[in-house]
Amino acid sequence: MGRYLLKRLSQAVLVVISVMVVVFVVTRLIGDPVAVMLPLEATEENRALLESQLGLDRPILAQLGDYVVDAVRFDLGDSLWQRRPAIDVVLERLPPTLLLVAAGFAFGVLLGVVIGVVSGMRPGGWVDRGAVTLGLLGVSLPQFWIGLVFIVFFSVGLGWFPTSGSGGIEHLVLPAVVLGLPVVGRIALVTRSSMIDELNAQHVKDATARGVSRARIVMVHALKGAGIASITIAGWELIGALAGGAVVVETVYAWPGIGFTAMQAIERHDIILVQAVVFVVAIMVVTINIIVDIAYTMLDPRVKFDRVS
Amino acid sequence: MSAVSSGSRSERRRWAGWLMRIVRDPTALFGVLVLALLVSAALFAPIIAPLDPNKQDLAARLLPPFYAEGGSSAHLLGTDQLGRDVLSRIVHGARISLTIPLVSVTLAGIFGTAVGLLAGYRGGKTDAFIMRIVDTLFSFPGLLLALTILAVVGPSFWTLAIVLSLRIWMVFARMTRGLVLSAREDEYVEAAELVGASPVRIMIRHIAPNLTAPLLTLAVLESAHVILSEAALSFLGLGIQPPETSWGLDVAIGRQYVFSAPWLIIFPGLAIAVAVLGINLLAGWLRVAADPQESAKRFAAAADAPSAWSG
Repeated sequence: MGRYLLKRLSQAVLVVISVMVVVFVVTRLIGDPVAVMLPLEATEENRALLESQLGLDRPILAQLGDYVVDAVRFDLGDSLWQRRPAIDVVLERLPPTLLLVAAGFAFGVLLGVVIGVVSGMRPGGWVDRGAVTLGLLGVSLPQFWIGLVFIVFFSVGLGWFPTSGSGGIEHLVLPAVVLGLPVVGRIALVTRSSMIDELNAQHVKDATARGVSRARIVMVHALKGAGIASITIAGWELIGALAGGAVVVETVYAWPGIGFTAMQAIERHDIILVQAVVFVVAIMVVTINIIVDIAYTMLDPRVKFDRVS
Repeated sequence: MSAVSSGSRSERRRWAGWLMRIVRDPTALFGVLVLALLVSAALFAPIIAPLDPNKQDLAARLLPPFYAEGGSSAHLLGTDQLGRDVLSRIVHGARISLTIPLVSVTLAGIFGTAVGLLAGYRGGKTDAFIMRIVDTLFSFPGLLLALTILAVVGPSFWTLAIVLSLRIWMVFARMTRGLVLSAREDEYVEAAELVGASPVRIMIRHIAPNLTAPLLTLAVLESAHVILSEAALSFLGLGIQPPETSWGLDVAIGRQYVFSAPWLIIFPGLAIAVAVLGINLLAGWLRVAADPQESAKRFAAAADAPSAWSG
């Protein structure tokens, strides 16, 4: 276990470093950071000044080295827009994103599991048909569009929720539901199909033959198997919500998290702040991956730690 | 599907068989119809669209759709803040929604398949090295990284298509590698190796036919993802740029009129939803139909194969 964890951690560090190297290569070699950051009317002197401030006049490999070393020390430079350490800005905006993702994810997983269990118990029934359709819609409808349609109906039309911003729980409802919808769909489909598999499995049939009640079979036997099957998907969904969904949903609802910050930073050509967001999200993504792997291994005795790698 | 079938008659019969299966299955039929609609809208946009998508008419700004009060048949789905016809913009928007996935998925498919073939066939250290890179890329924060790259490099059709293909090629590599590995275990491949067939011949003659159906299905499925990603990036302002038209871009424009002109959001978004839904349905059906095992499951059991939709 210890060695396995160490190996996974070193892989995770490698992933974060490669993400940062990709960002570095794109910003410094393909793009022209100074041109992106400066206004159009900037003079040559402005350019030279900014270049030396950012260390861009130094050899590219020296820049890369410094950049990685600084990143490891959580020093990603000062945000051009806010004029203070970019990492501080990101960490300040992180709690709203975590709140939103946690709420959306909890909604998605709970509703998904319930729908999946109910529809898996009676494949072909009307609940099941509804669940499959919902699952399909969840992965087919563009999130930014659902967000706006919800605003049209629930905020503008019915006046139930505010159109955007943050504050009380009423601000959280719509963005969390929108973020959670694809999760509902996918978790429901996975739970459903592993429910069907589990209910047909020999050990479950044996339990039925021994006279174990249906409720107990569903709750203990089938749900455990379904739970193991959905963990990987849940992990993927969480990563998708953090690295993609949050940007879109936060932008639609002006929710002051890191996704919205990334978009504001892009609008203000603040590449350093964008980099900091990518850095923090990359760390969260690899952390989730490790947690999912460990949870999977602990729940399913058939998977051994050394075999996962 | 056998790889040996040749001759135009059996070929034709096979196509007829597939056609019958599509017509009989409502989900597949819906998928095919949506795809046909998309392709014809993209190809014949200037003929189908009632008006020029960029023609402004300031006298006819923000007109509601035909069913609402003040709407007219001249602008069936209403007009935007510059008096441009929403329906015409949606028809023209089909071009981007078709060409971007076509380009991205082709690029990603070719590159990913080549990498997967190399890893699967070479095995050993090559395989381990390639798969390590692929696994690393799977842990990249996809959309966020795409946004960053587009913000720095500058959004255009080609940067968008390439960035989107960079996000999905690993899926093709992983699947190809898996298929090659399992095909290599098959007895007929071992037999061919024993007889002394060259690696290239084995690859083309014996392994490649096993790849076609699953990879095509994957390509269809990934097209749906690419359409959604393009729409999201265009919505965020880092995808397709005006004066070109894209459904995601139109939703972004409509966003400023969410109180007064909701149709500017509803219809372009609906176009994305229908296109993606149709392609997903088609991909799900293809996966079941092309796989004999899944097919048997589906037609034997009363329950529809759910795995086909789990994406």
